[in-house]
Amino acid sequence: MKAGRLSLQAESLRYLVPYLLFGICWLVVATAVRGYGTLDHFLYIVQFAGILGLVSAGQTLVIVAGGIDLSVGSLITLSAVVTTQTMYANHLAFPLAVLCGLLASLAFGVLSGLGVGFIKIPPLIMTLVSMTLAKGAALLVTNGSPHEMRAQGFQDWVVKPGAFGINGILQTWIVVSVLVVLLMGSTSFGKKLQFLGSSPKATVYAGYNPKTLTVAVFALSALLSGATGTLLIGFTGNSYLGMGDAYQLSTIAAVVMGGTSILGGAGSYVGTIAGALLLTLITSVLTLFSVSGGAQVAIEGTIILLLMIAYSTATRVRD
Amino acid sequence: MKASRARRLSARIPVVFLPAAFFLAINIALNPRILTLRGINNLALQTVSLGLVVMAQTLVVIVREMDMSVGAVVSMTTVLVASNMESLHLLSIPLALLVAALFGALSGAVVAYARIPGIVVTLASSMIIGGLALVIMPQAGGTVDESLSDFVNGQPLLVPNSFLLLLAVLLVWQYVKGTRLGTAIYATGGNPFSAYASGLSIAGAKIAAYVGSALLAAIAGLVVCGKTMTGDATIGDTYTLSSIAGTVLGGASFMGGVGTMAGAVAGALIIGILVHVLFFLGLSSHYQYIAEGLILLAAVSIGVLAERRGQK
Amino acid sequence: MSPALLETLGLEKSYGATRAAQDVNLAFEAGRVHALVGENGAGKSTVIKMITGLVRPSGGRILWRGEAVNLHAPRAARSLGIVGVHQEMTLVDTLSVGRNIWLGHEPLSAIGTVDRRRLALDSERLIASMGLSLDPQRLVEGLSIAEKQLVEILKALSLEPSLLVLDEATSTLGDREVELLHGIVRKLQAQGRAIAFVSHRMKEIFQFCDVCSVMKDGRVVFQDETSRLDERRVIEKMIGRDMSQGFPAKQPVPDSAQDLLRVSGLATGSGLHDIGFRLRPGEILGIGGLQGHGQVELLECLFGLVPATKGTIEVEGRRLALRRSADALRAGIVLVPEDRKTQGLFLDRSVEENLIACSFGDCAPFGFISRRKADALVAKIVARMKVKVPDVKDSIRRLSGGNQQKAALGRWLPSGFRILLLREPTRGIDVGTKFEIYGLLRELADTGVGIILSTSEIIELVGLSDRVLVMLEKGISAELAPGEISERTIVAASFGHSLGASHES
Repeated sequence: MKAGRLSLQAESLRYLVPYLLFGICWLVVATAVRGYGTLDHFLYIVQFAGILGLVSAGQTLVIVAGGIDLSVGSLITLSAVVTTQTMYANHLAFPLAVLCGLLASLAFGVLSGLGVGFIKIPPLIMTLVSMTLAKGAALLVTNGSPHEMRAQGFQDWVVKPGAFGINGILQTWIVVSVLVVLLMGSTSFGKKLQFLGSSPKATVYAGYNPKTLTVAVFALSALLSGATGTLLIGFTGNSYLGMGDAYQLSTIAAVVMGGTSILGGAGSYVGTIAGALLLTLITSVLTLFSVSGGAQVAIEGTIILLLMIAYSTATRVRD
Repeated sequence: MKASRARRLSARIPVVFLPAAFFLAINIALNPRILTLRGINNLALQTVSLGLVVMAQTLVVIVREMDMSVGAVVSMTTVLVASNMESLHLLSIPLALLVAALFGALSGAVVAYARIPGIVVTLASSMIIGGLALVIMPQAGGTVDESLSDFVNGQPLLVPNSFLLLLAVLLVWQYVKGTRLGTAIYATGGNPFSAYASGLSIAGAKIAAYVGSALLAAIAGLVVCGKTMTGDATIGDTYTLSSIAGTVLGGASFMGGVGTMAGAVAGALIIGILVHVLFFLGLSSHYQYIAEGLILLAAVSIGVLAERRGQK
Repeated sequence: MSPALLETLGLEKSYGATRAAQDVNLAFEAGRVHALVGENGAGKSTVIKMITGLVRPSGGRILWRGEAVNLHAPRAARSLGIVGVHQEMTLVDTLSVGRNIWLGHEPLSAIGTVDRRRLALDSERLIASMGLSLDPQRLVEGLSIAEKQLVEILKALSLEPSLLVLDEATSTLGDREVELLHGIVRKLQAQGRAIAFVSHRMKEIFQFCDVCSVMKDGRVVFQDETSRLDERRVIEKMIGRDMSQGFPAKQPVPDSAQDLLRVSGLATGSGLHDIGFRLRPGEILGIGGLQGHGQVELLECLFGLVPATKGTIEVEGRRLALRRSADALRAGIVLVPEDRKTQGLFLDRSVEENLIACSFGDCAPFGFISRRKADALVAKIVARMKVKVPDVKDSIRRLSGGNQQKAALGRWLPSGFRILLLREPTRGIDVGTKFEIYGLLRELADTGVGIILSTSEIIELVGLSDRVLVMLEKGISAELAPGEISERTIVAASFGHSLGASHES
């Protein structure tokens, strides 16, 4: 009966597995493909992974709290276009424009949280609603034609290596990673989120307010999506409708690949970081081999499905 | 006692038919051309494909799960038919249905045996199905046999063929509902533990629901294919969201065990007409997403709140 | 001696660290009614679940008519003719009575659909044969708990069982229904069927049953013909000691003491009405009555989970407005709910996380959890409650039921509560831990805490409570003073009979 049983501590090893997988993939790619495997290449992969990782931080929090957020992609877009729009049409200074973008995303995050927490609409459906409304809002705000970016200082900071030899994306990712890991592991709020995902019924009996917890976690996710949108326009110098769409399903893939259970209650951003790295590497290799967009999505879907089955079976063996 | 009788009644005569009739009346008032044979045919075509997709979602919701892949199955069906019509002619139709059924069985099996919620399983399978559809047909196109489009678009008996098709599907469902499998589906959704303790096979009920849902979505895909005469890997995208809205409006409950196909059709009618009316009122496409989102939000909120009140 | 239809040999079941049943040897014979008695957590339900296929044994064998069988699902047991009526309802609320009775084995028409007319006829016939007047078309969700229980029994009868297993099937039934059931049981006996009868109610054991087996701590400790037994002996064997000993001494509270909690005219939207009582410091107030008569609503209302529509709740003279559990906590009221697995604990999380779950104010004053404070808190609770846990960082799922319950209660200790609400606190727990918890409750009461204890275990109610409120139909049927508390008075009040005017033989 002892076989197959892991203590909770041993289970946290599962968040290191994706790092192992990344290492293996890296070695394989480095030996098989010329030009791959260098430090430059690593930094190149890492900065793309950073963008995915930033928005996946929000997804991790929401999934651990027992939900799922299908609006992150459209909130990236919304934040970006609101920022550029207010800069050009309303002539706002850049920092103020960014704030407007973040507030726009936050608004929809709060909406999602209210719908899920108070009306008890299933998170998947509620965030689909927010996604649709955010898409509509983006369309309205830009009147169909979003602007490009011109804030050289910001763009330079984002792209060019600065302090410690890393650029703005990596700096942001590192800071956010530390904050999120601390939040999840060492704060009462983080613990309550895990409790919420583990057993929503039991949270009321423990004296928590699951409604405010829900609003908070969706708001955080929306904020992180908004910040990702800001970084993206710094990165590309452009904003366009649908720019965040590609990230939507990838955030879920990154979280699941990182070892977090889709059912919630247990999870770690540490794993998601590796998941983002791994997914970015796989995607770049697939693109290199001219694998079409459709095939990439199908492969991502298969990976998510297989991982969910694997984790579900492993958990049941444990019990 | 009053609540239970009301519930029984609402199961038999979906109350939602009243608002459906109301919206239909508004539509007719705004656009009298609908009352022509051609107008009715167009309306039927729109409603039938949506209706089938809402029925698909309703079936899965009855068994206390959800199906996020209905849209992808619709797309995949149009793609499979349009790309194989030249070589296989009408055989491409059963091929498409078979492929859909297999995907449905796969999703159902993963949900039933790996004990993962259907919502996320079908999210993943929608990625797989949608992605594969794009691979098979990256650009909309292909050829569709005249016979299919003639059938779908025709109305030799005055009543549109597409409508007759829907009726046929409803008849089949009436039969299935009356069998032990039908009871098992409702029981599994209403109280899975009771169903298990009563000796029913929960896995069988769930897999049947997902296969049924896939087949219904595939038939919807056939109608869409017949209407547009092309295959398009992205055409199904909006159907998933609409199927959820229609299911809730049609009276099905996310708690499972409650829902009717007649209600599903009524819900589809409301959604279809609503969007049409809004468009007709001159709402620019900019507001399209907002309108969709608000409709879905309202539909789901009403559904969830009505349920909670009923539970107390 | 009639041949045994079903025999268990060395049957056992373990859930992780908990041994729910071990070395169980029982025989159920045709034409005989075999009673299985024991306290909560003694293992009776586990054995029943194993012989009806709901749960798979961890060891031992089950023989049906002499041959070993593998009952891997209820389907398998039913195919042999073993049908159980369990404590958990197996009805589907959204279906009608008739549909529920024939669920899974509905009569079919020629074309393979369910023959609705025959189903209605068969249902009416079955209902009439039991002397009842239920409408088979009614949806189950509108029925009372007693009616639902009857439908469960009808459901089992529809399968024409060779071995009918009744697990606490009478706990929600009134005298008249019990008589009807007795008639059915006699009819089945005459037909050569076997009956297994699990119950708490001694009167029925001696009325219905031929042979009685007593279970304690997962084992069968005693077995004999009921004709050779008496009530006292059976109860002694059940709890393993003289009933009057074991419970901690009660401390009568002087009438002059200030009220800790005063409730008057309390009513809720779910049907609770006219609830009024007082609780004084140091008192253990028991709440009894049949299941489902408002006990849970009352506790949840006091904890702020169910809004009160009328009446007042006062703690130490201060009127409370309870809109959510946080309000109750602020007033010093805590609740240990009925189901520790889904309500009282976070089963997937570690022991230490569960123990600090209600004390973030203490160990995470600025939001960040202080490792030092958390460890100290956990150690304190473990020591005070005597929780047997090898590693606090391990999943709480691995603890035994008794230790889990100690954790569910212990997590509130640091909060310094004034009023402790408990619901079925010793369900599914071994006897030793039960008495540990009883002792702890009395100790807490001695420090001035007021305790409200809602339980269906009458022995517990009698042994622990200083006063008892008996609930009936979501109102209070009787309030029993210290001298009036006994099994008789509680049971009588549960059915609405006034004190002293007993209908029992």
